[in-house]
Amino acid sequence: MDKREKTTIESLSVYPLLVLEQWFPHATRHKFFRTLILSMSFFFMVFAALFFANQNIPAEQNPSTGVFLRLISFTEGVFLLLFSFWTGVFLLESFYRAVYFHNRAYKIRKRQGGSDEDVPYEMSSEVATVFYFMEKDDVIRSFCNSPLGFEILVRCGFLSESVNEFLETRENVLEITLDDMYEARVFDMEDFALFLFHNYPEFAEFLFKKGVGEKDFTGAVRWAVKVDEDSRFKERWWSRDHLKKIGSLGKDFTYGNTYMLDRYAHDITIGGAAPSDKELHWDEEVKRVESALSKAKEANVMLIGDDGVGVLDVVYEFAYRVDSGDVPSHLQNKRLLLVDTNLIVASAKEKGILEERLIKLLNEAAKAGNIILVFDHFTSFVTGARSLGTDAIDIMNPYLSSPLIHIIALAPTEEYHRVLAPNGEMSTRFELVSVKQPEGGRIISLLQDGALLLERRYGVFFTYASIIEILKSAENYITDGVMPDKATDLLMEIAPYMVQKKKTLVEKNDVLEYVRLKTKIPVGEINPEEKDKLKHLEEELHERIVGQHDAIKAVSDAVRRSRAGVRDPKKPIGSFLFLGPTGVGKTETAKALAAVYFNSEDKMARLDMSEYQGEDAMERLIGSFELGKPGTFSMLVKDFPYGVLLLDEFEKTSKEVQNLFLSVLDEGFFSDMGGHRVNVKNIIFIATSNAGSEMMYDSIQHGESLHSVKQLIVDSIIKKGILKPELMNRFDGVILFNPLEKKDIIEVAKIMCENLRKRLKDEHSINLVVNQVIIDELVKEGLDPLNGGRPMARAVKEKIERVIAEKLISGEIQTGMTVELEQADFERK
Amino acid sequence: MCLSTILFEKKIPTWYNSIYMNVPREKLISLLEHYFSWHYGQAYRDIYGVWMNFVWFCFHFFSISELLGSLFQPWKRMGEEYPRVPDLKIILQTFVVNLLMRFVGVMVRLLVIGIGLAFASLVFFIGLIIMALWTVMPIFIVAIIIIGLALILHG
Repeated sequence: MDKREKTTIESLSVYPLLVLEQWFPHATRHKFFRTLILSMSFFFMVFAALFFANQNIPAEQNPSTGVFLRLISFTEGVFLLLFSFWTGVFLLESFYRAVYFHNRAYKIRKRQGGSDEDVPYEMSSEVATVFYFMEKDDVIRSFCNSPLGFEILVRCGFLSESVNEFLETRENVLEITLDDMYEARVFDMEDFALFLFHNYPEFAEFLFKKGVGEKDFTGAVRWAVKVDEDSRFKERWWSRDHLKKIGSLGKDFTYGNTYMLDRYAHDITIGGAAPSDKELHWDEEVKRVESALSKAKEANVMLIGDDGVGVLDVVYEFAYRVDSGDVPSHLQNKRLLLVDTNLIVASAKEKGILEERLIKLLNEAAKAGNIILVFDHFTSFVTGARSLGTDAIDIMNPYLSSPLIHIIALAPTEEYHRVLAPNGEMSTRFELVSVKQPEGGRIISLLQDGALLLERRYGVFFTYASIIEILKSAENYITDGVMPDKATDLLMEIAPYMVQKKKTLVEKNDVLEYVRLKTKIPVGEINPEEKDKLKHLEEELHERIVGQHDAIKAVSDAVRRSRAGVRDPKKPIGSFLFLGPTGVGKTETAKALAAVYFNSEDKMARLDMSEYQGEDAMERLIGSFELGKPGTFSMLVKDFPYGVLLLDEFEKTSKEVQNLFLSVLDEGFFSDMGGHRVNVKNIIFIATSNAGSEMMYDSIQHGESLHSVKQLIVDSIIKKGILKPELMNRFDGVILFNPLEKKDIIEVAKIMCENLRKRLKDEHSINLVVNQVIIDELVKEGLDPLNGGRPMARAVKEKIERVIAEKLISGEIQTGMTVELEQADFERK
Repeated sequence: MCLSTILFEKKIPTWYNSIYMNVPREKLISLLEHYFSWHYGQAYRDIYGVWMNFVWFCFHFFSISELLGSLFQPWKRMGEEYPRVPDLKIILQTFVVNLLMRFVGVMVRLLVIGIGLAFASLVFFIGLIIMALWTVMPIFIVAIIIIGLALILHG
């Protein structure tokens, strides 16, 4: 208890800052400052005008000299008064900043690369603010009302109404003191917010009701705190870090001019895309570039990575560091010139000119002595030059090995392997640095920086949850492109969409809504119509499928799981192996699912796997690297990222292809010929096979239920080596389709006739009456339990459709008629 | 100000955008005490720090140390290469041209260094003046208030 008496708010180093804030806050000071400057300039101009007028008008011509002089001293006096106020405000502001930045000294040290221990922690002004303005020991209220606390809550998706409601309806008040903070070593807003979260269950519950768990809260807090700190640090324009960025004169006096290079390249070290106030995102890659360029000779770098990963961003970040002198001494004063390779090739027109120009450029760079040449899309340049008959690499070779020149070449991974890697010298001349897709954390900070820019431009405000959702949605639903490009694209598209919607706060659901609009994938809140459909999915499917309850149940469950968002997001929506004889409705189930759930039968695509048996099966499916040809499967899922994919006669495909599906079903993606990941997470895979159908027949004929012999059938398929056990296990469900019994087949016949009736009515306005005669005729012709529904479909075509066609041609049936077929119609030849 | 407060028109607590609101007198007195102890103590160190930053900036901006280090280098690497086959005339010509380039280099560099040093000294002296003014600043403010009022009231 005696400790409690020790720490008072008055004893904190930031105490005067808090009093100042209470009396004359930062924002008001700034307003004052601006107003004073404006009025001072006004009075100064008036004073100057009067003064000069007085000088130029002779006293005898001016009857009111006395008044004039009086006016002059009046404006002079006002100006001096304003000036004194201004000086006063300036002094207070300096005091404020001095106290603030002394308080943040350890953060500043940390930013400059110092360790935590350099300067001791002090209670930060943000936390102290909460305690200073606390009323009746209600720390939560004070937190929610503090500027940064409120910002944190908005980042979590709360607006003042809901916060106020929470504050009014709480049951308990959390009583904590500054001593508790010292004891728990809580000094920063970040720690403080989390402290509240852990020690005040009502607060955590309030957040949780809006779906904000600890992870989201921590993320939102970190983001809000970082934004706040960044804006404060940006105000420190007098620091060396900031002054350094202004640049310097005379550093290039020792280096040669680059007249020709200036025409074919531009300098990205000056002002380029310098992310002056941005967090740096490619530290590891930039360090590797630095160390590669530090070699005594052959100091060249080949940056390879997929388009959209941010390969060029690495170069820009490196350029920025060079510009701000944040690199080892031998790289200082370098100029990074981004070469316009298209211009060089296009303007050369013929071999001789191209070669001469390239040599001149390289010579100039070598002579200048401080040039790092950057070739974006180096592979295109090499192939472009090749089309003119020039071997660009051969020409560059002597330069690449000399210490006089540095080159950074950029190439897409696949093109690098195709165009450059076959040239063995590449790997000795260049240090390879591959730029991988950044992982979650880095993308989040990229997105957060992007969001801040958009917030200023569009007047919207992103919640932390929306940023996370953008990341997830881009990963899961946007199949084109790579991360982080597709995530930032999505972010950029959402801001104007919100402006259109006249909504300011971007929440998770807004992101999902936009994704739904863009991709047509049903994500986000489930609307009532959809809810109804999901509930009655089985019934709707049964309208088209006879029997097969197990199959329909399994498929419906998978779809519901996916839509509710409880499925494993790393796998496809669902994957099923349908086993059963032909004609029992396997394909029809897939079609029905596409029609009912995805709203159109077109949402089902089909791959006849029996076509992929030979040695070239894999090549034809995922494409061939050597031939540069894309594969059927990769193309199909690119055009068709969402829906049902039917893999017909799956057992007939080669073992290699079956292995491909092991990873497809398990991980929800595969790598195509170029090594690009192709996302198949939004697809329901239905593989069909009639393996084991004889056993099914036998058991049905022996009166056994399929349920009881399922394991036996699966085991026999495995034993015969038709499908591997690990593949069978990868499917969400292996479903046996019952052979159709007579009554089922009659039911199928009825459905088929009904479909025909509808078609005739819609397309020819003919009203066909489906009577017993038709059914009897179909049963007679098409009942074949061994082959299920197929013979029945044939019978419908051959019997009924044939008869109607003949009647239509002969004119016996005409548009608008009701047609009832009789036995005699079928007996006619 | 936080963007959120602007966008969502939060009902900002009275203390946040107030001036001279219910601040007890003893707090204001304590603020003044703190202020003056900073003004006549730590502030000198703070100003010194900022001052030295600006002096450093002058040296940095005019690249004075780099230019001194490369004072006799030829201007922009311009110059001729000596012939491979010895020819006294050409060697002499080349020598003169290269000497000239170095001379140009030295002149331009000295000029920039000169300007840089001039700026640095200017900044140094301005800093000295500010340091001196800082001490009398409170009196100065009071003085100009009095002068201002006198001018307004009595002309």
